[in-house]
Amino acid sequence: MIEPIDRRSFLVSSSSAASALALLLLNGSSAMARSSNYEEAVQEVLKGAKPATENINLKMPEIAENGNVVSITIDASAAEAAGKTVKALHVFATDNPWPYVATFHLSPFSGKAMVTSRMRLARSQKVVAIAALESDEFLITETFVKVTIGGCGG
Amino acid sequence: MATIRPKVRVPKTAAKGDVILIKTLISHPMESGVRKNSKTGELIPRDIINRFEASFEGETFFSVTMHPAISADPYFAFHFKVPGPGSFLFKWTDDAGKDWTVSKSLALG
Repeated sequence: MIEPIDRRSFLVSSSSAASALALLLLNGSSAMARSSNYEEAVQEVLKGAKPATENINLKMPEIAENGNVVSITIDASAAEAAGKTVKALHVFATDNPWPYVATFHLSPFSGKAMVTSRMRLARSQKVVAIAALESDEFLITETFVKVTIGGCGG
Repeated sequence: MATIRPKVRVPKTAAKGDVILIKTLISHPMESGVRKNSKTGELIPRDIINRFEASFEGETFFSVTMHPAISADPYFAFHFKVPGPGSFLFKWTDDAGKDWTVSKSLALG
């Protein structure tokens, strides 16, 4: 388990980082986007629900040489094969300055609940994917990515 | 800023009921808002594409809510179940509300 507390308190103690955070808060486009903490961001999605750990797969490299561009594939098609409908796929980076990465909203015409994109990782960390099902259930999975050169600038 | 250019790859034809793969890419710096200008030390303001929508015959079937952790030149690969012939519209929207669109048509074959 990562321990974001130490890093957070360090960040807040630095005035430039605090102003960076303030700027981000101003620009946040949704309530979810305002979460500066990973646990909070995840709870905005789960709202206390207990996710299952099956039928979802997160494919990322074990070692990312460049944290600015890390390939990510979220695949919840196994849930569809089990007769569930996937509404959305959420991605979180547990140790980024901005843990909420993206949400992919699907529909019955999405065909297959599998999405590929590219994301930034500030440092080596755990990435978490959550699938929201039509039945109000959630599926969760995580993977650890070792980053050689961090993304997100700074 | 360099010209922002969206690109989409979809098959030209497909059979009804097929699940096709769609790939999209748009050239955009996705400035995260946490980087500093190396000379002045000032923060570079956030400027990202925060929304992407893919629709077919006017109905959105796939969309993305993006935050600064999406890499520069946002790339997505996703699927679509073909209900029949028609046209796609792909739309990207940035923080300032500016948007870019690409349209593609799909025939049965």
